[in-house]
Amino acid sequence: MNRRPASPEPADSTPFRLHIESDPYAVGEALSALADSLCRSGASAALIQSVEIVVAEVLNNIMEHAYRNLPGHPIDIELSRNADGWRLRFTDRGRPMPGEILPEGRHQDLDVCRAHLPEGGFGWMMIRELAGSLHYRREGGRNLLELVLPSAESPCRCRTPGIRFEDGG
Amino acid sequence: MDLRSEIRNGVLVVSVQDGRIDAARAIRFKDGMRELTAGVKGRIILDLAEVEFIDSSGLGAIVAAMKQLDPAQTLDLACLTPTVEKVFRLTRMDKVFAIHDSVDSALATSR
Repeated sequence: MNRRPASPEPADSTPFRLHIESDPYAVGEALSALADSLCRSGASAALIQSVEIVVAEVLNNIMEHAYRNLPGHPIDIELSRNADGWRLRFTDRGRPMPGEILPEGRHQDLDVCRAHLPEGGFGWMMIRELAGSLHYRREGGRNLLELVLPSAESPCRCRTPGIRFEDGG
Repeated sequence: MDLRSEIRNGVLVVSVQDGRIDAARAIRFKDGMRELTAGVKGRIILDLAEVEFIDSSGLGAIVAAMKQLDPAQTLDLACLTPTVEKVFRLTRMDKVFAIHDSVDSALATSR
């Protein structure tokens, strides 16, 4: 099985397209490839952070639930710019969402004692917090998820080795 | 999951030596924390300076690492990188954990 994701299309015109196979370690590689491409194209640091968070959560969800943690199944990611921000599309051939609707991802009560703090349920919460719009449909044996991340302002600070993000420099 | 630990000013400081705590690494992180924190008294500081990314599984593992402590132990966080900080803010877990800019400032904070 080939773990390395294909490189995103380097052209300055979007969309970027990535094809990966289900594998937990493929997520980090896919995120690095997307972040590098976005950084080179001048996307804001905040946008890149949001893309990384959303893509990781969606991919984890597809692998865990649609593909039941089975490796080697296809997932396609497409990132493109539109008037509202950045559009992300995910396609997989796994099981449908239960009831063919998206999970709610509500905030949970955190004003509880330590033993009762939630250890999960954060993924869809973060996706819904970050996405301006979010649509799911089942079509021809495929799950199609499309969302838009609103554009943000601050410039990217590329992750050059040795450069630290915290202050003190 | 490479975790390094040292005692500073009588406090256990655990530094994550991995750029990610994610679904692929969450269980190893939680198990590593259990080993390192067993029998330690009082406060523990988790230094996340090297961690550029966590996902919801990684966040859950940090919460689990706190929950598996003895009642007399506490877990503080230090040096959150921007994306990690964003995950804590989005999930409001920044209100649950004591979060410090640096290990030094965490050590300087009395409990």
